Amino acid sequence: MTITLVVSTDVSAHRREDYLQAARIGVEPESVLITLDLMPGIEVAESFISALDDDGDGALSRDEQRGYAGLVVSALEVTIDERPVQPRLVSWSFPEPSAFRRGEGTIRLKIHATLPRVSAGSHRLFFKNAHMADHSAYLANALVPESARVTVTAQRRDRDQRELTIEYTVRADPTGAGLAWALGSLAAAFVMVRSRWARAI
Amino acid sequence: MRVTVGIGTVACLGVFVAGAASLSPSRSTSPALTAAADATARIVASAQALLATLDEAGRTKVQFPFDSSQKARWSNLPTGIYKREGLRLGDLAPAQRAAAMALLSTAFSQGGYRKVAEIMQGDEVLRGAPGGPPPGGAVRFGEDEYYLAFLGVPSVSARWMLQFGGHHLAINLTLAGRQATLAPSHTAAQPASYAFEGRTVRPLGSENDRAFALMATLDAAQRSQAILGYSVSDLVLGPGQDGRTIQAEGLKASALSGPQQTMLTDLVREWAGIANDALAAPRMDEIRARLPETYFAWSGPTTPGSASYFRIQGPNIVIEYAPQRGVDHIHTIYRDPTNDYGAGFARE
Repeated sequence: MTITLVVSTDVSAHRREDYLQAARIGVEPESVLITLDLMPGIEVAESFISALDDDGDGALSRDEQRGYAGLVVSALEVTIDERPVQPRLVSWSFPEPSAFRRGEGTIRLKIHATLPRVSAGSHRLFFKNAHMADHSAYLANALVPESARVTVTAQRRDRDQRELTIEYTVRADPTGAGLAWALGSLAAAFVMVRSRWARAI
Repeated sequence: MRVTVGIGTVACLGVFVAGAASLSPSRSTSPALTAAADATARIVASAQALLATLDEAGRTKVQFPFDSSQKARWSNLPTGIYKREGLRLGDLAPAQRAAAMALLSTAFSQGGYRKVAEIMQGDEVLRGAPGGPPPGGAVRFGEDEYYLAFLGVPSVSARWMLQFGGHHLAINLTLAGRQATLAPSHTAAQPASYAFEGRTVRPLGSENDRAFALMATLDAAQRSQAILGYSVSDLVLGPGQDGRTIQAEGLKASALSGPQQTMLTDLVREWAGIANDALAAPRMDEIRARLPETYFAWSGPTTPGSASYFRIQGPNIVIEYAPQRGVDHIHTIYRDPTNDYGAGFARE
């Protein structure tokens, strides 16, 4: 799917001809949840709807919505400590096309990424949104983490907020879940080694 | 005359003192409590006076359950783009409209009422501006296009909300006896400056001017903390963003001098002070108490007259001021992460 927005000549002081993409990012010890609100301006609404409405019936079917949401997610880049992680579309909501024409239509995507297990200490999550860079304005903000184990220590962005780096610290899991996981891994390794020895003997 | 104080009386006094000590400083002083309770009583009386002017259909239109979807039904957008519920000012008879405006003047401070009136007047200016929406069209501007609603029954003790808004305005005043909050509320202006009866009106001029004045006092080190290195094109926590708390950024108010902290507090009062003075005072005390943990952030030029974004964010406050691609169209938001819609109030 290729999206090209055509801007009409009727421009007012309201946000009309650009596409606001606002990311709010919640970092937790083992996952990241990104809420992405997408708001095409009134003046690009028609071309936006046409680009999404594959069968031209004037409505956005579930498949058409999923197709577009997938396109947006494919334009996201998320890494933790330089290692890429895979953002996965969890849910999405689209307004009626008429809402875009009125200038109040917001698409909301919920995107989840499972983070590799990280040690207690400092970490860095990088987020980049490259979707429709030519016509968009961006916002990107870290949310206050729900987990008391995570503390956001800094946020760094590029000038346009297409890129956001969240620096944060993770405290050790006081419930011992992390220790249990480590002990479990050790136990599994021990069993594997022992069984190889047994076969060798 | 001998006064005998029994053990029970002493015990009761002890409980009272202990309870009062747990409240904020302003709430522990009886005159402040009385003034706030009196203000709520006057607002309730004004609300009842308005209800008395309405017929059954009007009363049905204005009244909503407190915990209904109406609570979050507010927007920066004009009629025709966003559908509001409640009493539309343009549908009211003169006596009813006068009663509605009398209620607002009771609920708001003098400055708050003036700000609200100037925002509405600005929309009237926009309605008649060249290139404005055609008469009779779906999108409508002007002073008639503002809506009033009650969520919960107006009461001097139980929690209820006075909601008033339209294009570029959403005031959500939740009252619970002597407690009140305006969070979340939205003020905005377009045009941000207009002429009326020979004078220049700037509905959000004080917000703008106080912020630039504060910026002018910051030294290089403070500026390097306060100024964000990226552009902010809109509100981050505007309409539709209830319940979210972003990570604070910028210059911590604990790094401001005393006079600078006063300037920041005065800037905050432009929003918190929209409410009736007696209700705004305890709220300002709450904000002052957490001021050292509050941040001030800035994006854009620091030369007065520029289009620049700023944010004030602390444990119990979020304020954003966001020019919309120029200085003549401003959006702002006021929130309390601990008490939007009065969620933090204990029921009295």
